[in-house]
Amino acid sequence: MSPKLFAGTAAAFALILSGCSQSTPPPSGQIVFEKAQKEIAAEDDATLKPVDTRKPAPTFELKDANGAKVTLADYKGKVVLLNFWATWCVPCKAEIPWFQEFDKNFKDKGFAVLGVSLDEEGWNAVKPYVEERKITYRMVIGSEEVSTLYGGIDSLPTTFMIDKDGKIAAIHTGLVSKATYQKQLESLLTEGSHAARPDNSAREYALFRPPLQRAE
Amino acid sequence: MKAKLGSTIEVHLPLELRGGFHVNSNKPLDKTLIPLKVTWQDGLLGATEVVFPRPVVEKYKFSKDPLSVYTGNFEVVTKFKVAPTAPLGPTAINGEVRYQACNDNGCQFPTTLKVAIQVTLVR
Repeated sequence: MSPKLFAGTAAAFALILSGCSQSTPPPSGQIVFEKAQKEIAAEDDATLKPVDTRKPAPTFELKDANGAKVTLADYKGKVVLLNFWATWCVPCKAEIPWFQEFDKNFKDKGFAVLGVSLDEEGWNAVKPYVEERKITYRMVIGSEEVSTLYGGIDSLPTTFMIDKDGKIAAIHTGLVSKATYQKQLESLLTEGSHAARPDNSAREYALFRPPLQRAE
Repeated sequence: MKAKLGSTIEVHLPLELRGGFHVNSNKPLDKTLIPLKVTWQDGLLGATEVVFPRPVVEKYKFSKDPLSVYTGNFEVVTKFKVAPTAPLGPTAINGEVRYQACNDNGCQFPTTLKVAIQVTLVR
């Protein structure tokens, strides 16, 4: 029989945990999945931000599956559901049929869904996934830069509801209900365009963006 | 820890996950999910087998299909063969734990933890 060695001693893991920005190992000496220490607390609240407090959605340029450039300017005057997701994210998978339905039912009313995949493998992972599930709304592959522009996406799904003026009307971190999304998009579609400031620079968003709903 | 030259040793790696979170098991039921992986660099001790615990198959509110996961505290056991001609004295086994964690509302990005285990080789 092989001798058993227990790796979980404090001494054994001092190095590992220092790599995880902890100076001392936990009392149990066990590896703690550090990234999972942050809660992902979804607030299923359909309330939109008041119009005068909304900040411009950062602009970006990404490519779709056909290599075509996609920017938020393409959606000028439309309500946009901007969804950050990944193929490995099961809660994201739950939302896809809803977004499909919204895209189909509201696209002629000035609404669009834009999926931003944060898969490390890019289209190699996303293309087969999209084809298998027959996802018809537009999809792009995100980047670290875009993630940073949107406040540093650190959990999925994260969804931004963008109004007709290109401003962020709601942010959802984590899974919320289909009804919440639908209420918000219908409400945004009924809003008129509010003499928007033309500037939708990322800088402004970075300076004044509201904190994302992440519990420390 | 001490290990004799030419012997086979078992290293138990205790892992702890915060309440409410799960990681995919080493064999997720859905091919798109990221499995838990424990890998070791070749060195004076060579990994011959990595044994994962039995996963829990659980249903979550965000999925119509159950998921094969680990929660709470569990151990991954690795068997190492110590090279019979290795130099005596201290050495390290270096490895990585790759995981992807979620709770009921969302998922964290895949993460890799570095693991280093100090072993003293004896005759």
